[in-house]
Amino acid sequence: MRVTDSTLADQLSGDLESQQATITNLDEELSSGNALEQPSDNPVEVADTMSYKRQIAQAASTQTNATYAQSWLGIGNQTANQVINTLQSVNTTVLQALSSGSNSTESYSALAQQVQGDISQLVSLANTQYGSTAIFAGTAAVSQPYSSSGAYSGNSQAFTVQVGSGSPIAVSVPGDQLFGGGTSGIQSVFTTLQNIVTHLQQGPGSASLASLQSDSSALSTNMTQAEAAATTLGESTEQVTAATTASTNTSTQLQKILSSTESADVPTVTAALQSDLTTYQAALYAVSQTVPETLAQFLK
Amino acid sequence: MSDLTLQIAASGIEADEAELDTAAQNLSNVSTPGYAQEIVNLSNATPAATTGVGQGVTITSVSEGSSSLYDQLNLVSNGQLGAANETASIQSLAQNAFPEPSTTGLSSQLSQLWTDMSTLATQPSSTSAQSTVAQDASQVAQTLNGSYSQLSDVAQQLSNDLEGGGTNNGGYIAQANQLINQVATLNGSILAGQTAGSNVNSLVDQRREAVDQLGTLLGVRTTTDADGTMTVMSGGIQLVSSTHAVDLEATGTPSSGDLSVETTTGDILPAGGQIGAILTGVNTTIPTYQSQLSSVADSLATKLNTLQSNGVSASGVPGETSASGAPPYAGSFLPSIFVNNGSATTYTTGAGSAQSIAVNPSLLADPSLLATAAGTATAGTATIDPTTAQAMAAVGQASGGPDDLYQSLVSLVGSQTSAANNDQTSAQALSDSTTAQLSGVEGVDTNQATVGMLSAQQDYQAVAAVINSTTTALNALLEAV
Repeated sequence: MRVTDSTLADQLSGDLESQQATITNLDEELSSGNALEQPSDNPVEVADTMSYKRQIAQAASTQTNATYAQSWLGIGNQTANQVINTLQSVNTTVLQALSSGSNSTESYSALAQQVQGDISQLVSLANTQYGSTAIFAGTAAVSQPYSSSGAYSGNSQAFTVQVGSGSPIAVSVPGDQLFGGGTSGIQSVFTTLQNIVTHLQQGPGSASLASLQSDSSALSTNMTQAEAAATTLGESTEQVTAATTASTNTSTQLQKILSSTESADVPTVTAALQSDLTTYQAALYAVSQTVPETLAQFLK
Repeated sequence: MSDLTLQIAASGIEADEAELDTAAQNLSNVSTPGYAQEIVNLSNATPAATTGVGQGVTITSVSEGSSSLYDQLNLVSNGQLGAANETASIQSLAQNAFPEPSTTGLSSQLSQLWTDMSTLATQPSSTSAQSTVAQDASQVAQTLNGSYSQLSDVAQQLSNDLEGGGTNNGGYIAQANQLINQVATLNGSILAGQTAGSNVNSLVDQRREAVDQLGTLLGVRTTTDADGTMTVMSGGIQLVSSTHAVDLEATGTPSSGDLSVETTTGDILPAGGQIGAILTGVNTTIPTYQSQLSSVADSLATKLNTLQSNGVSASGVPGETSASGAPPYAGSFLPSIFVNNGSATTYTTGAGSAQSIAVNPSLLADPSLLATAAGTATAGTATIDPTTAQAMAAVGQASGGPDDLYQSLVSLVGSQTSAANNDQTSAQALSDSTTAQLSGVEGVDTNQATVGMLSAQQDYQAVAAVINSTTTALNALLEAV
């Protein structure tokens, strides 16, 4: 083939141009630190990256919600335990009234006052809030689900938080599942306690003894329910912990994969850039040596 | 004897001068576009009948060292390169509407919306959480609007490139018409020149250059007729035949996907080259991207609006189709989350919806009108039931949801752009190779031209010596007389 000046010039300038384009790409990759700048860089990896980022955002959201759920559950657990302790102390009081034969009207009255105090404490516990939200109101937006007499104005739906991709986790129990009453089918603990107060105030006697016997059995039903509620809260806590751990693991794995696809591989890019620069310099040298060399130079 | 000798020498001088002139011409036009190297064709002049001695040299012609095969190959690769370059540039412009992967693109904004929606689900009555979600949704809608109109701008710019208007007066069609007419005019001049017996090489060079440019613009093929005129065809339709030129014009509209180029007699051109690439861009590529972007908007709006309509707000306002919104409820319902710009109540799906999607102004004004609770919540009663908010947050994970659709779209744009870049590289390689082959035949080789020049110079000196020696011989004869 005849090699003409323009053949040579076109070829050399084409080669230089394509080398410059390669070097520019590598330079960009190195300076930005990103292997993927635009969708066409690697359509498959870009789609993967977008998907990883979504999952990482989802995992981050799971963490946030989990923290929130743990706060609710922490307060709920603590309060439920205090409720159980209070009920146990009432139980002790009732047993004391039932067991001792030497109880006087005065001592019964003192015991009644003690239970009255316990009722106030329970009402206050039943109105416990997280932030400004009552945690034992179900999903009803009321700040004081229990009146001073123990009347319930919440509902019986548990408040849930979505932690991870499974079903939403109940982070509290509606008041009626901890304190009875409402739609639970169990006599409200406040009614039980109020009965105990009334019966203690009647003073010792066979009538009040029989009533207190029956109150004691109602109280033990209330205690069983409270313990079951505390167990439910404990189970929820475990679920949240499990979901958090799973999402942390997923997130860590995805971050690793993401940084390996999205970030520039500095050693490889640097090596490629070095090699391209060498080729480029060689091509420049070739141009400087070849282009001016013609017969015309030797004509004097 | 001497008269003949001087005549022969004179023809030699003339031939050598033609060689030197041609060498100068070739060397001067080393980089002239369309120039084909010229060759002096010499022949031995017929001997005089009586003596049998030759009568010197005749310059038959100064012809072009051209090759119609390589011209044709080059023309085809020009058309392909023109199309590939234009397509790559359209793809790259369209791709700018999808800045992914990044921390600012639509994908991240959607993720943010779902995250904040999930946070709202943990505190449904928080006004700041409600307001954050409304702002996020508005941001997503604006980004969809922005990407859509960015694509529209690209399409508009391409239409201007094609038809003129905007900042590009003239446009490619006008350029093509000018070139078509130029080729027809040159055909006429070549025809006239050949009839008159004059050298038409420079006209042929000009015509080759014009046809090359036309090839890049439109993708054409040519045939050269016996009379030296050139016929230019674009996919079976004659654009130039002898001195007759056919004008082109645009017809159809990009919005109906049938923008095309036709001749003034109404034949639709199967256009290639840059013009063909632009037609594909405005008729197919960009509308496809816009329509898929609208699918993202539709999926987002439909899913969230449905949940909104089936839910109840934290303050107890029911959605239109929720259980608690049923009669006897007589109050006002929750507004749609997304609407088409300018319409306060409804959202209509369609290929252009990404352009118009917006968050309902009444929701932006009062974000507490977001449904967060299940549709069974009691109307008129405040609730912190998070069921609907949780369902909305889960839309982000839904298969076939807006995130999925957008990811597919970005994937499509990415792979088409990447393919266009590859096409461009291979079209460039093909063009480089045909250009090299063509310049191997038609181009000027400086060394060869210089050698030709030196040889003509030596020949010239030799012939001059003949004249000198003939003169000496004549003088000697005259002195002897």
